[in-house]
Amino acid sequence: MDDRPHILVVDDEDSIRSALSTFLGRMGFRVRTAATGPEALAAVEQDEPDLVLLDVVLDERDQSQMSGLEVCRRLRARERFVPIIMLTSYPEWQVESLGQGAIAFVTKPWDNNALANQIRATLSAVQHIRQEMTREHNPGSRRLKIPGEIIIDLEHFRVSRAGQQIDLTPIEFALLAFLARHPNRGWTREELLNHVWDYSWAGYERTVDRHIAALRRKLRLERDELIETVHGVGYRLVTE
Amino acid sequence: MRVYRLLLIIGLLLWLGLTLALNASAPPEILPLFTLRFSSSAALAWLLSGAGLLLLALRAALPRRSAGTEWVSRFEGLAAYLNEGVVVCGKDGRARWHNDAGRELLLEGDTLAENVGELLRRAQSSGKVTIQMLPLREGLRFSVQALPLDHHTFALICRPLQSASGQGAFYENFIRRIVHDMRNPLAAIIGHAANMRQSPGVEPESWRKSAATIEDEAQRLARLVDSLLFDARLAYVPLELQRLDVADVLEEALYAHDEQAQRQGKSLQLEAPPGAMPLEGDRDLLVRAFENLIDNSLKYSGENGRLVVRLSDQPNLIVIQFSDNGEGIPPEYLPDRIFEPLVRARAHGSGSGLGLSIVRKIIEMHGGTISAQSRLGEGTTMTVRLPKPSERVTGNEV
Repeated sequence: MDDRPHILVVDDEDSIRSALSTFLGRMGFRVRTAATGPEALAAVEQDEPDLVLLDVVLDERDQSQMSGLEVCRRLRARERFVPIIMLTSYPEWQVESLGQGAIAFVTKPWDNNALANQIRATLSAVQHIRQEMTREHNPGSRRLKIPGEIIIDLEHFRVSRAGQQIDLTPIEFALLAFLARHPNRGWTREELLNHVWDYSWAGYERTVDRHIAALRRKLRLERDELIETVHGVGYRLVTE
Repeated sequence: MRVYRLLLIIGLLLWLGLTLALNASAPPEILPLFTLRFSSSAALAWLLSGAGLLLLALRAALPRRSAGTEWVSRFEGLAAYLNEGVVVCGKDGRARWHNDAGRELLLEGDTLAENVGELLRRAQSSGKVTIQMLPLREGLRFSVQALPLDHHTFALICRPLQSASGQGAFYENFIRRIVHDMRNPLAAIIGHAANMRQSPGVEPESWRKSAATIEDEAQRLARLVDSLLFDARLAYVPLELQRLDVADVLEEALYAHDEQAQRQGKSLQLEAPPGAMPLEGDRDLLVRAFENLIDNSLKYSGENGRLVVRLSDQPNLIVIQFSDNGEGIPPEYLPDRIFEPLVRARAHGSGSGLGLSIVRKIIEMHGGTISAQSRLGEGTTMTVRLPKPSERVTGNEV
């Protein structure tokens, strides 16, 4: 049994697929590639990859082809959550709301190291959440309710506020889920890096700040509403 | 008109008859007018009605004073309704007449806008019809023609390019597609180069593949950049109009691809009626447009590729058909989408995606149209229609 993390690379251009599979293979991942939407969906059914690297293929000129966004929609409709990192040529797409839950974006052309870090961090974020879930057998704990009408669905990696779906990246999601599971306690940046990000990856403390800022922005939180900055320490999620 | 004249004559006769009858008792040598046995105001009214009748009769009887002025006023009435902007002006660029669109697009106050003024000066110095694409409104480009009407008067006509008509969204979309089309090859180049650099040791086989990919993708970028530059140049380089023989221009374009066709075992053929077929146009641009069409046909035709270029002469048009037996264009791209910039019927072909849009732009700049008919698996016919040079305008060597 091959226990290397398994990544499915979906892009319609051969030159992109070959560049990615060479690199990811060298980074120690098991890589499979797909050139079209249907091929990608079939590969996911067959192999259950740990992560899908998906080209947006925002190619409206090719109507016969299933767009990356459509593939994304169908993957989200499945019972089992698979993290998706979208490759896009249009950075402005990152801010657009897709309403599909936990998707990260990487802009083409990508930087190999940044991409590898993003993939590792995403894999470990998802893994942490799954581990914590299997440790607790209480089904009620799969949905967390926190103040501000925020609901966190740990099974499907979705967050909503007042009934409205909020798009977070898998790492942002894992960070919020961690803080929500361990509320009313200050966590240092280093602790958060250890618990949410990959242990083996030396992240920077600024990384935590950036993700907290993104969470506050996306959840439309006021300054120090829900997630407090604990000066000299780090962050705390307040539920009481 | 005839009934009107007849009524006038009857009216005049009645008036005379009545006058004579009313004055029957007066001595015949005295003019009836002065001996009317009515009050002086009634006499005056009678006199005026007679004079009025006489004037109307004269006006009806005389030939039209000047047919020209009437046509001008009719033309002005018509031009006011056109979407095209029209301005008639003197050498100094001051407008003598304009329609609403003309005022909005071409004028600043009562004088031509600066970039339009330059076009006018070029038309003055050449004495010929001069055409240029100008950005008259934010994001939208127009084809502007300056026509010398006589030594002192010019007409300026502007129309939005079909490819740019309507929305600024078009340009945003255009930029998005260019970004997409550039980022993909860039991503492949950077990815493969990084892989080579980061590889733990020398890997001849995988490096050769990476290098080949890098070369292909860089070529793709280079073609895209070339086409973009050419496309942009079309916007500000004026047409150099000269009198051409269409068959001659087509032969030049075909000749450029003869060798390639022979090498690939494909045939190129020109069918043209005997005799010269004159056309007013920019030779280099037309050759480029025709070459693009020929190039496309060759690129997308199989081993027994065959391209026939048929030239025919219609009353006001020159019609050129490029018919091939290639793979054809899917129906969803017909009749117009195939000519939109960065639209490719084949995903990720080797082309820049700008070829056909450049062709359309060039044809439109010459006042012509292009359309595509195609059946998948059978072939494609591109039909170019160009207006014949108008004798009145082109013969006017000021």
